[in-house]
Amino acid sequence: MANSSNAVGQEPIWSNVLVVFDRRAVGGIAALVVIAAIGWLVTSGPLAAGALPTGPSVAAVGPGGQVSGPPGKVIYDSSCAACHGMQGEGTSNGPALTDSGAASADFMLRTGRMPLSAPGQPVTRGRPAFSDADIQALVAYVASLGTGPPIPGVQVNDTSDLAAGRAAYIANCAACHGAGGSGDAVGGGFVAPPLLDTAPTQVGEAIRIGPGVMPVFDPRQISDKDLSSIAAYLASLRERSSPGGISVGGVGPVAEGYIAWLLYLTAFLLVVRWIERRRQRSDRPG
Amino acid sequence: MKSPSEVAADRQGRAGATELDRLVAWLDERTGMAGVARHALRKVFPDHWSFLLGEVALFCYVVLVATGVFLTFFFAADTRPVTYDGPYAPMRGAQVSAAFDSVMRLSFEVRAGLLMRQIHHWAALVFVAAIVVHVSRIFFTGAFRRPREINWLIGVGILLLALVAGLTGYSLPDDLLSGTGLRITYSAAFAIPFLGPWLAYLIFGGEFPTAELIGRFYVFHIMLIPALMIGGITVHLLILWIQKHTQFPGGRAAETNVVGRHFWPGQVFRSTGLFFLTAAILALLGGLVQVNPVWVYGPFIPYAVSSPAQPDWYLGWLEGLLRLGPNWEPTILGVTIPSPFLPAIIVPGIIFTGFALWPFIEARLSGDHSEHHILQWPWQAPARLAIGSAALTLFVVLTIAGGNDVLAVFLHVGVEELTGVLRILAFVAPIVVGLTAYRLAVERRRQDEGEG
Amino acid sequence: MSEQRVRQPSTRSRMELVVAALFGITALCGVGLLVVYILGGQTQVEGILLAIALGSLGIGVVIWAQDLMITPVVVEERGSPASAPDAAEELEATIEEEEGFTRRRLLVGMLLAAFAGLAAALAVPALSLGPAPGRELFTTGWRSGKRLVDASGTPIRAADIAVDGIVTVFPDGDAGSADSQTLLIRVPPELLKLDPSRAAWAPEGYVAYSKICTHAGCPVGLYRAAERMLICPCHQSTFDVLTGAKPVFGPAGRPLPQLPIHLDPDGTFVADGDFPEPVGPSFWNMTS
Repeated sequence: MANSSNAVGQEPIWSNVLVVFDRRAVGGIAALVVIAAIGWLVTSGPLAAGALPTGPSVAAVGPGGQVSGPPGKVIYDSSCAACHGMQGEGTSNGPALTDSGAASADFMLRTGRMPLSAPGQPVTRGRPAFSDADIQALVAYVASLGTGPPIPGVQVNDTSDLAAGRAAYIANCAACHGAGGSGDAVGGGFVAPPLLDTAPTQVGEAIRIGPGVMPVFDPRQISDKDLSSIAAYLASLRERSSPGGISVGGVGPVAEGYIAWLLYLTAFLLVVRWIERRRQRSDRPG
Repeated sequence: MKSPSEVAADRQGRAGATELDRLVAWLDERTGMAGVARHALRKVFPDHWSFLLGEVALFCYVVLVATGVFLTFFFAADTRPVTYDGPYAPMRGAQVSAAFDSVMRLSFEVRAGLLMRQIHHWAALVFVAAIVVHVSRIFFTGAFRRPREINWLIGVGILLLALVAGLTGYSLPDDLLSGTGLRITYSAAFAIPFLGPWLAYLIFGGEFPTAELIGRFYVFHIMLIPALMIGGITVHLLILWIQKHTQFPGGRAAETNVVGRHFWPGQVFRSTGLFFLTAAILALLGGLVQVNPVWVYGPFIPYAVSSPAQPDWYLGWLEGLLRLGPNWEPTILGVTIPSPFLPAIIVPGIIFTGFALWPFIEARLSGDHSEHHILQWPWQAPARLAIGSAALTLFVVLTIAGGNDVLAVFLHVGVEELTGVLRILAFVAPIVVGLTAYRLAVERRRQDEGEG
Repeated sequence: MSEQRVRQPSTRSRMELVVAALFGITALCGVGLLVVYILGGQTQVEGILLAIALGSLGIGVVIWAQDLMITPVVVEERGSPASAPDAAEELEATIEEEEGFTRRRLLVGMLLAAFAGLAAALAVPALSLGPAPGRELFTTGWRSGKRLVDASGTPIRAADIAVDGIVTVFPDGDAGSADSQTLLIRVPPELLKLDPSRAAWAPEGYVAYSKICTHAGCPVGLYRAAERMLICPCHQSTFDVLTGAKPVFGPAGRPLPQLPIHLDPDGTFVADGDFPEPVGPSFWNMTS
C-alpha cells in the first residue's frame, strides 16, 4: 500500500529530517555553486591573473650583489637586445634603457613582466623567466648602460613603522591600488595590480620607477624610510589574517553584495522551500 | 467559591485548574482578551513557500534591531578628533574621529563586538535583498490589487526607509569609504536646481564635511527611521491581518474563503522556526565572512580616496546611474543643470513614483477595479509580467554598472568599453527581457486555457 | 489540499527524540558560547556556535510544527474587508453630528489657515539645521601669495617632485582643508597644451588643478602618469592634464579648475589667486 520503498513506519530518520528536494531546487543550487566556484577560481584562485608568484622574495638587497653564471651581456644580447637595442638605445619595438637603472631592470625581471614573448604583447605580471643569478647579472649589465635609480634598500622587520606605512599608503597608493591592496582598474585598459603578494623590494622599486602608467615618487616626496614602511604595511596586510573571517577579495561592497545575494538565493530560499516541503510531505496520504 | 479557572477546569472535566487556565483567567479578568485571542489564534493562513518571503525580511529586521541595540552601547557619534592607541598597530598614533575610534574599539577590544557588527551589517544587506524578492512576489502575483493598495504603499515606504537606514548606518563609522559615499550623496542633493545647495546644507549642516554630520545621521539611524519603520511594519501586518492573506488558485480556494491552517499552533511555530533559522544564517555570515573592515579603509580624510569605491549593494543602482550618466551640463538662461541631475534625481524620481503608484496605474490601464483575494500566477498577466521583468532587468543592469571597475578587472576588459556596453544594455536588456517575458506568458496562458 | 497524515506512533516518537536532541544541541552551544566568551572570545568560533545554536533550535521547532503537531487544513469564510453598508454612513453622521455651528466653511477655512501658520512656525527650528549657502561655494582657502604646502604643512619644492610625479597640496596655514585640496603634477613642459591665457599658470611643466571632481565631489586620486590622465575613482570621470584637465570620459561636465601658480626663486610654489571657477560639483547658479 505504501508507494515508497519502505513501509511508512520504517522510514529512516534522515529522510524524515532532510526531505528530498525537488530536482529544480537541486539544479538551481548546483548551478549557483558552479558559478560561484568559477568566479572564485578566476578572481582569486589558481587561475587568477597575477596569482603567479613574483619570483624569489628578496628581503634586503643592496646594489651590487654577487654575479655568478654567464655575464649579463650575453643574456642581454640574446633576450633583450632585439627590442631594446644592443646598447640599450631602444628600437621601434621597445624603449631605451639608458635611464632605467638597476631598479627598473630588477623590477621588470623579478615580476616576470619582462621579457615579452613577442613585441607588442601586453605587459603583465607572471613567473620570472630567469634564475636569481641571471637576474642579478642582467640587472648589473643594464645599470651599466646608463644612469637610473638603484635598487632601493627596503627593510621589513619587527621595527617597521606600520602606522607611518599605512598613512603613506593611503595618501599615495590607495586611490589606484585599493585601501586593502587588492588593486583596481584605472581606465585606459590598465589595471593597478593587487600588492599583497608583491615582494617588498619590488614594492620599493615600483614606487621609484613608476612602471607602466604609475606615477614616479621622488625620494624627497616618499623617503626611503617611508618606502620600507609602506612595504611593511603591505606585508602586514597579507600576514594578518582578516579578523572578521573570510575576506572576499578585499574589493569592498561589490563582493559583499554578491555574497549577500548568493546567500539569499541559496540558503534562505532553501530554508523557506524546506519548511514548506516538510509540510507537503507530512500531508501525503498514507 | 471557586475561582474562574477552577470553574473552567470543572467544565472541561479536569481534576484541577492548570497553570494555563489560571493565566488565561487572570488576563481575561483584566483585559477581556479571551474572545479576541481565540479569534486570533484560530485565524486561517494559506500555505505557500513564497508567503514566507516577507517573514524572512521581518526577521532580518528583528536581528538588525537586536544587534543594533548592542552596538549603540559602544558607538560614539562624535567627530571630535582623538588619537588611536588601541591594539591595531597600523592605526596607532593616527588622528581619527571619536566615532571611528569607537568602532575600532568595538571591533578589536569588545568581546563579540566584531561579531555583532558583522551580523548587523550582513543582516542589513540581506534585509533589502529579502524585501526585493518579497516585493517581486507581491508584484508578479498581483497581490497589490484592491483592497491591498495601502499595504503596497506602506511596503514601498518601508523599502525606502531601509535604503536610508542602510546609508546612514554604514556611514556612522566615519571611514574613508563611507565618507566618500556621503560626499556623493551631498553632491547629488546639490545637483537639484534652485533648491539643491540649500537642501544639501540643511541636511548636512553646512558645506561638506561638517562636524555635525555623524551625530545627525546617528539620530536618523537609531531613532527616527526605526520609529517610522516599526510603525510602518506594524500597520503593514495589521492591514494584512484584517484583510486576510491572499491565496493561489486551486483546490478549494475561492474569492470568498481562505483555505489554510490555523495561526496557532502550526503557523506560529513554523514562523518561529524560520526566525531562528534566519538568525542562524546571519550569525554564520557574521562570524565567518568579513564585511566592512573599517580598519583597512582607515578614517575619513577629505582629500584622500580609495578605489574601488562603491556604496552597499542596495544603492548600487544609483551608483550605476551616476557612472552611466552622460556628461551633459547645459546652462539655460543662466541656470546650470549639473550633470548628476538627470541620472540621480529625475530618472529615479520617475521610476520610484511609478513603482509606488503601480496599483493605481495598473487598475487604470487594465480597467480592473474589483476586489481580488485570489492571486494570479505570473504568466496570467503578461503585460504586468513584461513590465516588471523589464524593471527588474534595469535594476540588475544598473546595480552591476555600479561595480563596473571591479567587473572590468574580473572580465579582463577595459572600464571605458564596459561602460559603453552597459549603457546600451541599460536600454536594450529591459526591452528584450520584457518582450520575451510577454511572449512566453501569452504562450503559457494559451496552453492553460487550451487545457481548461 | 489533502488532510494531514497522522504519522505512525513509532515514527512520531523517533521524531520527538530528534527534536529533543536538537534542542539539546542548542543548549550545549549556548554554554559553549559562554565558555568562549570567558576565554577571551574569537569571532569565527562565536559565529559558528551561535549559528548552530540558533539553527538547531529553528530546525527543531520546524519539525515540531510540521510533523508532531496536528494542523489540519481548514476553510474559513473571508467576508469583505468593508463594513456593513450602513456603517460608513453612520461614521459620517457621527463625525458631522455634534459640530454645532453655522459658519462651518469659515471656521474650517480659518482652522486650515491656522495649521498653515503653525507649519510655517515649525519650519523655523527645522531651518536652523543648516546655514544658507553663500559665497563660500564660490571660494576656497587659496589667495594670491599663499605658498603651496603638503598635508603636513611643509612647503613643496620643485625638485621634490620627479617628472611624472604627483602630490596633493594645500594653501599654507590651511593644510588638510577639504575644499582647498589641489593636485600639483609635474609633466614634461613641451607636452603642455594649455589655453594661452592659462599657460603662464604652469611654470616649467608644473601644473595645479583642484582635486575635487566636478561631477560628484570625490577626490580625483588616480593618475595614469604615462598618459597624463587624472581619473576619479567614484564614477571614472577622466581629465586630460595636458589640455587643462578637460573631461575626456565619464559623467563630469566641466574641467577641473586650474590654480594659477608661479615658481619662487627658492624653489617653492606660490599661488597667484583663487581658482577662477567654483571647485567641486556644479550647482545651478555657479555662473553668477
